[in-house]
Amino acid sequence: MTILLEQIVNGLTIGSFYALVALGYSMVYGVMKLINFAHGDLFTLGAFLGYTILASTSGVVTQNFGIWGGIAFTAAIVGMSVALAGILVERVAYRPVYPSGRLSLVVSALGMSIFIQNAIMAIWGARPRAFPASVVPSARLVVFGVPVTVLQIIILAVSFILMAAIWFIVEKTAFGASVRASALDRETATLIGIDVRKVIFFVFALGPGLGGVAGLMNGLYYRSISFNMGWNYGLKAFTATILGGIGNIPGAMLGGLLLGILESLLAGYVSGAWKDVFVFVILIVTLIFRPTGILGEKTAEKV
Amino acid sequence: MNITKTVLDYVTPAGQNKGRGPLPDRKRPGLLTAAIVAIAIAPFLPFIDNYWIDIGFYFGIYTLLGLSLNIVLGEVGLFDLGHTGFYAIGAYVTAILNTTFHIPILVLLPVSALVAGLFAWMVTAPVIHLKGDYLCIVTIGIGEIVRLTMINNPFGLTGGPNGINGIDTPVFIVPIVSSRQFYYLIWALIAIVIFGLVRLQRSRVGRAWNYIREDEVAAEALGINVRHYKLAAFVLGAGIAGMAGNIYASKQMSVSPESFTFMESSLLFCIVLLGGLGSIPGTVLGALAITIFPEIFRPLAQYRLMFFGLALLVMMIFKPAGLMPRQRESGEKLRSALSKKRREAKGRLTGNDGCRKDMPPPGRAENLLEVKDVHLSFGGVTAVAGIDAEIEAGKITALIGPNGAGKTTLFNLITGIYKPQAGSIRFNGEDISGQSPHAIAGKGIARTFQNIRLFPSLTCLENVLSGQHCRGKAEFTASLLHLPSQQDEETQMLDFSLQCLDRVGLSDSTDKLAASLPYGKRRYLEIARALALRPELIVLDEPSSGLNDAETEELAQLLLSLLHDGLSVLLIEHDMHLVDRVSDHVIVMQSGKKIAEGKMCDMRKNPLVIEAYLGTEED
Repeated sequence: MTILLEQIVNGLTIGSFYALVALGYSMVYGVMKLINFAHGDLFTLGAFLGYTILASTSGVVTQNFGIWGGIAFTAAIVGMSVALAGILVERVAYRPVYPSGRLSLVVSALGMSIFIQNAIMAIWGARPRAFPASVVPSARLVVFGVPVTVLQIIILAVSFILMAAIWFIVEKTAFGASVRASALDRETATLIGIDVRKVIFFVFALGPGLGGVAGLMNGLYYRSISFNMGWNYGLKAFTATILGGIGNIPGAMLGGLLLGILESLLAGYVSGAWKDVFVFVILIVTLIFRPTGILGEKTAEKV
Repeated sequence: MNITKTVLDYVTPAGQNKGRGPLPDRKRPGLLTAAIVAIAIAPFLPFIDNYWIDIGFYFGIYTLLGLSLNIVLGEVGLFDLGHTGFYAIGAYVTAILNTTFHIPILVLLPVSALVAGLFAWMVTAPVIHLKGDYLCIVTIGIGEIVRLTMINNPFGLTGGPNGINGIDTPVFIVPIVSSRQFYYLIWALIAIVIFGLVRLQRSRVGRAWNYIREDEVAAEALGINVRHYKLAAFVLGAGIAGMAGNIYASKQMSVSPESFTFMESSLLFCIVLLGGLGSIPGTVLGALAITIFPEIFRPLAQYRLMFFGLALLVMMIFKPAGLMPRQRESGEKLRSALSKKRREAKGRLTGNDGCRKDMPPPGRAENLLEVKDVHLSFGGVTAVAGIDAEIEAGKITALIGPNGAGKTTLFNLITGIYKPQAGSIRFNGEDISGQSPHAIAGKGIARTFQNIRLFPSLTCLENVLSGQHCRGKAEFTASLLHLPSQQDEETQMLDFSLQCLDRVGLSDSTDKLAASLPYGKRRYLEIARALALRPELIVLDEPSSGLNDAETEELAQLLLSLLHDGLSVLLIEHDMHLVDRVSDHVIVMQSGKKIAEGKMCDMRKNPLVIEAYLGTEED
C-alpha cells in the first residue's frame, strides 16, 4: 500500500511537469494550430539557465537568499527569461512563416527545436550536468506513512498554484475570453476587435515561461540534466495534451497528471523498460475511442 | 480560421497558387537528362572518392525514404512523423531473417517491403480516421513504439541497444560489396520506384490521393473511398521505406535502434517539404539538400546542426512551397502520356453529343428518392425533425425555407455525410440511409456544396476527373502496368470530363488551377464535377448564390437542359425567381420539418409559407 502511494506521489510529481509543459503546448496550439516542437527544448533551456544561476555562480544566490529563497529567485528569473525566449521564437520562426500554411510551420518548428537543442549543446556541452547537492533542499517527511521529500511537496504545490492561476486567467477573465475566442476562430476574433497579436504574445510568453519553470523544477528533482532531455519531455507532454484534448486547458492538466501516474505505476508494477511503449499504446487506444481526447469536445464538421 | 478547413489549411499555403493562369507546359527534359547523367557517371568522376560515393549512397537512401513519405505526406497530406518506424521494420526484418536463416538479402527485399506494409496496415487501420495533428501524434507514437521495442530486445530477436551484426552483402549476379556497387544498387531501385510513382501520379489512384489532400469531405462525396486510399498510401509508403531499410541494413552490415530515432522521421518530413509537396524531383532535391548540408558544414563541427535548424527556418520563410513545387500536368500532357492507339481514339469518343449516351438507365421507381420520417439532432439541437419528402425522377425539385430550417442538413443526410438517427432514405427503392458518402455517390447521387469545395491547387480538368473516379475500376496493379483496360478507361475519363467542362462553358479553362477561377466559374466547375459522376440525381446547395442576374439565367438554362439528359435535380435555393423559373415541385422546410409542398405559385399563396418564410406583408 505504501509503495502504491509512493508510486502515485512520484507519478504526480512527474505528471505535474508534464502538465505544466502540456499547458504551453495546448495554449499555443489553440491559437496557432501549431505543434510547437521547440517547446520541449525551451523546457531544457529553463533547466540549464536555472543550473547556471544556482550552480555556476558558486552558490552566490543560495548564500544570499537561503536555499529556498535562492530557488524562488532563480525560478522567477528562469520564468521570465524563457518567456522572453518564447516570444523571440514566435517572432523569428513562426510569425514570418504563418502565412505559408501549417505544414511549413511544422518544419519551421522542427528547425527551431533542432536549433535550440544544439545551441544548448554548444553552450553547456554534450555531457549531462548535475545540480550540486548544496543548492537542492534535501529535507524529507513522512506523510500518512508515505516518505516524500519537501522538494516534492513544494513542486506539487507550485505546479498546482500555477495551473490554477492559468485556469483562472483563461476561463474566468475577460482577457481569457479573448484567448479562448482566438482559439475557436482566429479570423472572427480579429473581426470583433480582439487583438490576436496580444493573445499570441501572451501564450508564447506564458507557455514557455511555465515550461521553463517546470524545467528548473525537473532539474532540482532529478539533479541531472542534459541538452537533449527536452525531446522526451516534450513528446510526453504533447501526448498528455492530446490525451486530455488539445486546446483544452483542464484537459492538458488532467492529461499530464494522468500520464505521470500511469507511467509511474507501469514502471513500478509492470516493466520500466516497456512503460513508454504502454504509454503510446494507451494513447492510441484512447484516440480510437475518443478521437479528440478525454475532455476534447466532439466537433461535428460543418459541410 | 474554422476547424472544418483543417485539410485545406495544411496544403494551400497562401500565395502558392494565387492567380496562376493556364499551366505552363514547362518541359524540363534538359534538366532531367542532366540530373540522370550526373547521377549515373558521378562515381567515375576523378575527384569523387569512396567517401563521396558513400555520401551518394546515403543520398539515395534518403531519396527513397523521402519518396516513400511523399506518398503519405505529399500526395495524401497525412501528417506522418513516425515514418522511420517502417524503415526500421524493413531493416530489422532483413537483419533477423538474414542472420538467422541466411536468406539472401535481395530475396528479403520484397519480404521487408511486405512486412513493413503489413505492419503499416495493422497499426494505421484503427486510427486512419483521426484528423491532422491527432494522426500526427499517433504516428510519432508508432515510430517510438517500434524503436523502444527494438531496444527492449523481445524474445532475444532484435539484439537490444546494440542491434544485430553480421548481415550479409547482397548478391545481384556478382556480390555487391564496393561503395560503387551499393551506389548503383540503390539508384537502380530508385529509378524503378520513380517509374512506378510517375505512373501512379497520372492515374485514377494518384488523383484520388490528391483529392483527399485537397478536400477530404468533397472527395468522399464524389465517390472516393477516402479510408481505402489513405490506408493504401500508408501501406505503399511503408513498403518502400521497408525496402530502403533492407538495403541500408546490408550496406551497414548491422542495424541498431539509434538509426531510427524521431530525428530521422523529422528529417524525412523536412525532405518532403523542402522539395515541395507531392513533387518527385523536389523530393530528390530535398534529400540532396539534407545529405549535402552536414558535409559542407562539417568544419563548423558542433555548430552545424544549429545552422541546419536555422536553414530549415529560412527555407520556410523564403520558399514555403518548396524548392521544386509539383507542376500539375495539362490535359494534353495527360493524353499524350497514354499510348498512341488511345490518342487516336479521341475523335471517335468526343464525336458524340454530350453526356446522354453514358447515362445509366433512368430509375424504374416513380419516386427516385424517398425520405421517410428522418430525424437528426446535434446534442440538444434538433436539425431535422421527422421529415418526409419524395423526389420524382425527371423533375427539378426545390427545397426552400428560412435560414436554419435544416435544408443543408437534409442534403448531408441524403448524401451520407450525416447518418440519420431515425427514419429511412430510399434511392431507386434501395435504403441508403447510413451508407458511406462514397457508396451513395457511386449509386448515382452527386452534389455541390453551399460554400464551394473544389480542389484548389488542381486543374479544372483534374477537378472534373474526380467525378469520374467511381466510374473507373483501375487500381494499383492496372495503373502501374498500364493494362489496356486501364488505358481505355483513362481515355474515356479524360474525354468525358472534357465534355462535362464544355457543357458548363469552361472548356477554355481546362488547364487552369481551380483556385485561379473567378467565383461564378467556380460554381460551374463544381456542377461540371458533379455531372462527371454521371449521376441520376444531382443535388445542388444554393447554386445561384453569388451569381449576377445574367449568370443566374445561364444557370437556369443549364439546369433545365439537365432534364433532357435524363437527370433529376434537387436544389436548395434562396432566389425565388430562379425557383419559379426552373422548379417542377417545391418543398418548404422550417425548423427541421416540412411545412408545405407543391407548385411555387401555390406556395406563394400558402399562408403557412408566407408566415414562415416569405414574411407577412404590412399594409
